Amino acid sequence: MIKVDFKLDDAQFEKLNGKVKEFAVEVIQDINEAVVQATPVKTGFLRGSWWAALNAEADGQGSQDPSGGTAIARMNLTLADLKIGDVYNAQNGANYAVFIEFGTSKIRPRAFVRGVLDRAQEFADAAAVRVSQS
Amino acid sequence: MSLISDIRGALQLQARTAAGFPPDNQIDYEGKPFSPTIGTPWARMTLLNNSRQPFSLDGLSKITGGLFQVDLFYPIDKGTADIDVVADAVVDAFPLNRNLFKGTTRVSIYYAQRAPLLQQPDSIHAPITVSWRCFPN
Repeated sequence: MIKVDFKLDDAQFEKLNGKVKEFAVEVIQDINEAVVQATPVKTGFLRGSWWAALNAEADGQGSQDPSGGTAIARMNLTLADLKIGDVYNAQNGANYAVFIEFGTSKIRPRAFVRGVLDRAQEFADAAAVRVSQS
Repeated sequence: MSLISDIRGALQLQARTAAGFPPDNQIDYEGKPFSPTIGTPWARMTLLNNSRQPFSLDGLSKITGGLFQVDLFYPIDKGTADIDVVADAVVDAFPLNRNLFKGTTRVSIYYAQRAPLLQQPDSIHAPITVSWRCFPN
């Protein structure tokens, strides 16, 4: 499991003007889209195997989705029920996903999840600006 | 040398300072042919640069960042103690906020962390992820 880590400073938090849920939804949607779009495509199955759930393990049958549009929409739809304090889980159901992410003795790592999560603070800063201006 | 080559070089050099790190002839470098010796621990290093954005209002300064993955592969029949020791040493070689230099390039370390050991048919695999940033002039 990889956790997303970012912070808002006091000034950023103040500017949200109480729109914390909107901020959370914005950040998660941006990260969802970035992770799915960064997922390598050969047949599209890996990209189509992204699922999300609130306060539970995410699971589901993958399908070929080379554009990733269906997977992004499915994951973002989960956010409709988001409440402050919920835990949002995103999971790729393809059993070979871990080997693409971390590599094997035969193939180099692609880091399509960690590469995006490494930029989580950038996503959070951008979302904070958008929400504070809305 | 390009900026990315300098970054890669600085990170590779630092990884090799870890106690117990495999010798140079057992390291799989990007862009070079490599065949591991069966039954011998070996390492692989991969630079994954993933963002570049303006750092100053004039747009002239940029920040480049990404990940650097060090993979250790140990024989499958020798347990996990040895690979754990070396993997921890690699993490320790990249302390938070350490600056690495190659020529005039400065690479800052944001964090280094291990993933769980991955059992593969021919080896035990320990991936170590290093997050880095570079502020070129």
